[in-house]
Amino acid sequence: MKLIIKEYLSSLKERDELDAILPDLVSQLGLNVFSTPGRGTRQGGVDVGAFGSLEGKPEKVYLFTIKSGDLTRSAWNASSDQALRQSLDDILDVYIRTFLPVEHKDKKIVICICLGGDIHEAVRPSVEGYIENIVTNKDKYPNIEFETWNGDRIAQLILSSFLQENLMLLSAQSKLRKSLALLDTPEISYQHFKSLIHFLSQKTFSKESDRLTALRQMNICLWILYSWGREENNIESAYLSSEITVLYAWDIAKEYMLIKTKSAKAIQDVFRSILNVYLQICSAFVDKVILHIPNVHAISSAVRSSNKIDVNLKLFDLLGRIAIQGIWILYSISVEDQNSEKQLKLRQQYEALSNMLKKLIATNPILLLPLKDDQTIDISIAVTFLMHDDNNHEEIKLWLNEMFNRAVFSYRAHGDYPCIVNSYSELLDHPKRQDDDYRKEVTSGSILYPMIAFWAVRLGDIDLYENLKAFKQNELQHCNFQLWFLDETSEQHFYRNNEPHGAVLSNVGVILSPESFAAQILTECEANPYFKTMSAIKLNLWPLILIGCRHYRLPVPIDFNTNLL
Amino acid sequence: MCTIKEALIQAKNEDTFLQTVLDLSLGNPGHYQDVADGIVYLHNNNLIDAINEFYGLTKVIEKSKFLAVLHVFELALPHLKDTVKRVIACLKHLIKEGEQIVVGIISPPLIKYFVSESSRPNEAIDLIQFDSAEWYDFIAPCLMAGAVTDFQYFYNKTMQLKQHNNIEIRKRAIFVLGKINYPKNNIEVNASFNSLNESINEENDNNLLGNLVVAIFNLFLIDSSLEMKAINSINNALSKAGDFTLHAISQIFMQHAEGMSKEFLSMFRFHLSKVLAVNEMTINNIDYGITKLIKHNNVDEAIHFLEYLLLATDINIKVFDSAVYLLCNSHKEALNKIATLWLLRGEYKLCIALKYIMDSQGLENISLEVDPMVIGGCRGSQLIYLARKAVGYLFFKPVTAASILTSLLDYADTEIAKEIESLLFYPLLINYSGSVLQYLTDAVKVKTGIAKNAIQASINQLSSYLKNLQVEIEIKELWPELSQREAYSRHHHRNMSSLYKEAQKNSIFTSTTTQCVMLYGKKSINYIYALNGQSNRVEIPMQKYGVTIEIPRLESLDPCSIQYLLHICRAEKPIL
Repeated sequence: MKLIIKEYLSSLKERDELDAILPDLVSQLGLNVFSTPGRGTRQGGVDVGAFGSLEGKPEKVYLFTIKSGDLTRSAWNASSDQALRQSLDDILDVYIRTFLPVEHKDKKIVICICLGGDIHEAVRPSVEGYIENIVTNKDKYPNIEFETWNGDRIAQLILSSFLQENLMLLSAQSKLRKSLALLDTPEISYQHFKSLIHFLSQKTFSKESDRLTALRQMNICLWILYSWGREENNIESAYLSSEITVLYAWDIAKEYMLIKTKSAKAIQDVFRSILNVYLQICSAFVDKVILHIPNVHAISSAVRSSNKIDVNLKLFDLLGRIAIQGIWILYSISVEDQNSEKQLKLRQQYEALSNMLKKLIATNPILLLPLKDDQTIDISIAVTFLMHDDNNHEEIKLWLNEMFNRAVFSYRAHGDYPCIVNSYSELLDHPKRQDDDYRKEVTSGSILYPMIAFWAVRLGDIDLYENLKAFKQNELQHCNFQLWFLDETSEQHFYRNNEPHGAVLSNVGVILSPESFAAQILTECEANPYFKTMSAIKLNLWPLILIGCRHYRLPVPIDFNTNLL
Repeated sequence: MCTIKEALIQAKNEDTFLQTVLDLSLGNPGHYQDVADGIVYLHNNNLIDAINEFYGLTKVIEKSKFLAVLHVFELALPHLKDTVKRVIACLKHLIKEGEQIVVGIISPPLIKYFVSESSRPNEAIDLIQFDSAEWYDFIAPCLMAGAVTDFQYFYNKTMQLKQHNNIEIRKRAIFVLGKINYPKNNIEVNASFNSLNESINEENDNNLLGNLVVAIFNLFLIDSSLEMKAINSINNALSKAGDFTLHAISQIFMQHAEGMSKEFLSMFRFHLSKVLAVNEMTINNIDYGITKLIKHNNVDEAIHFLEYLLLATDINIKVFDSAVYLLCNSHKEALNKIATLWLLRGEYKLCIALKYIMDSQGLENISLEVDPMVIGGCRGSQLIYLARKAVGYLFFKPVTAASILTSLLDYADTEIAKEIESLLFYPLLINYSGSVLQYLTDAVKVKTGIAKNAIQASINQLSSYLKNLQVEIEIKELWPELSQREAYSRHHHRNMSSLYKEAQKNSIFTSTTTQCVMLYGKKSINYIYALNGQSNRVEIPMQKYGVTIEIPRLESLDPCSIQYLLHICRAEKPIL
């Protein structure tokens, strides 16, 4: 286990990664953190500041300066501000004198050189010489000590504090190891990680500290999985695992999100940390594909399968993931100050990503026809994202029209029309038979068509609505057009998907006039209060609902398009 | 070793006569005549009673053996010396046992038998007139033989019988009118013709009308000046015809297609297009008739015939296997013409037939060219229409489709060439960047002007597409799950395996050889035994075999677009 953690530590970058876990680590070790890393310029060379007693020794002030990977000569003494020697000089000359809180002024100070890796032998004499010069100069630096926390030491501390046997059973450690070992078969790796997350969060938390520990364990495990995946150039398992981790973490942390106690704040901090890892993984994933999107068929080809089903499933999945990334940008825009510089920057990001999403559809025409009805979930997330900008509406209309036309064509030709078959092996045979009985059986229900009808009405595309209505009346009478709504049990089960929940509005009135159809849906939305009472909605972290829908393959509540945007 | 005659006498005594006839005859075609000669000698010298022995031939024995013995009797019959009554009584028994096919087999030798003694036809006609219902199967041979020995008497007899109350007798008399050997420049030909013509109006029986049209056609063969009259008469007869009459004219077509005038062919085409798909024998006759047209270089008429039948009936092109085989294997220009004509017409039945021809004859990568005579007068929009049809129906024969498109470029102006160029790229080159690219790379070397530029431009488009595709990009996250890859592999293997088994069922090779599964090694060790019992050790090295199939790229990347495009290309209506 220690080797696994060392490997993970050595791969971490300084910014947002090694310095992100250190506050949790020292808190878990019993220190009180008084300074955490912030973006931009650091405070006098200190990444993390903490006070307290470690391993039974007297209480001291610990000032951590963090360097990723191994300490090389250039990392020690380069001309940049990021060099370790410069950071140590800053701590001694600036931080202790200027930034150290007054209550810690006269206390013993330990300057901790924190490394993801190790000190190279070539540079060790220089470091040791530097330290000796300081500690022997008692006149100038009477209370200063040095410690080096290399990868080996941090791994040991993580193991003893986060993953120690009484906190995390051997079986859980085994799940983590398996998920790491099987990164190249992401679906299996993910299953092990999911089992680990389930294990960590299944107990009833009697104390807040237990809750905090569980969240920290989830956080560190997710970090380890991500860093290993990154090394393997395959973050698929990390992506899926991060979704489930953030959903479970929310379920654990949600009741503390409005509480202002110290422990509640710690819980909020760890949840935010998990959310950050998730967002980082999402971003890394999208960055991998985005470069190739403008080239026709490039992404479809990258699936590397001669089977059209593989390409179809992967492309719609990708569509959903990119859209989710966009949804987070939308969310960030909504929480930033109006017209602030940051919001403007986010708006640019929104525009760039929405252009990319549209391009993805244009360059990969397989996205013009879902094979499975549940791919409506990905389409819904994408439309929810794109709808935010009026400039996208024409393209959404074109997309939906094309999708509808192709669905009708395929349905009539007994081709690859959207069906409710979910098993992959059954999909391989779809359409199994070219007869009406089979076609009726696999199109006995749909969320796709009512969603298209809904957007058609929202976008004022009455022709599309009328065409769909005619199709329903003439050829899909057997099909139950339905919409899914959250119910009173959804808050309890949505984030973990541990029980079925929600309610379905059957026989949605696509046979009505567009106005009556819209009215029927709005009436149901108003009659159903449960969307608004979901914690993620109430506490304004609504993208979590979309993550849950994407991950657990639940239809996107139509309330998103009537309430939020 | 005993002679055939000795063996036959011994067999007669041992009551194994027919089995011995069979044993002596089988193995060598020449033996049939020897055995027949032996029987004739023994019968005519009263050493055996062959007529009596052949009474023993019954349908109890296998049909092939029945026919073999019957063949011996067929050879012997003209030379047997026996009474007419005994002979035809025996033949009647054989017809009863062997069904109607026997009538056709024994008629020619029976005529010879009658002719060999001038009294026999008279004897036979007396018998028949005495009890016509009993003997009507022998009316035709009797009259035909009689006309050889005493034309006028038997011609008059035939004309009388043509008016007989019994339709079975009338049928045969009508048949005979077309078959008897009229003396040169005989005026009775016209009389027969007129008489038959009258019968057309009077008769309604399907079989009889069949005999009528055959007889009329035969009279036309004797006197070609009757052509227009014959056409009119046959047209009249066929206007109330049924399956049998159609079958009759299909036989005429089969036998005489190569020499028929345009008018006759046109009439036959019209009437044969009423044939039902279930009447296989009739369709086979038509197939052989068309084959004759092709063999005699009347390819245009053969194509026209096929086209007409395909459009007018529900008959599948695959029943014309002989004609299709000949068209594809000896007349490349014919295939070009078919492709050009049928794609230009755009009719679903014709285009599907063209596709079938390409599939059934293993014409995988054959290149075709549009027929200059057909395409010469076409407008630009028609060229595009043809190109789109070629894409729609021959998409899975990409080189063929590409070859048609490139040949169209020779007739295209810049604007039309641009559209063909775009079809060459999408959907052909983009899907088949192996075989089609190779074909076009070769084609660009020999083409000039607009055609060359268009082909080069499509190749350039492909290069640009492939460059942007960056096939080397590695995004592991997009790869299908292992379980899905395995499921697909199993599914694919299962499909291939069942296709392989299905193909094996129709394989001539596997039906004529035994299968031997070898689990290891790359050579087979065999011991071959010579006649002297010595064995020779032979090592037979195994050969590798394999096939390469180019799967259309967009089949996995964008299946719906391709299906939709092909559907549209196929469904487009002809440009008027």
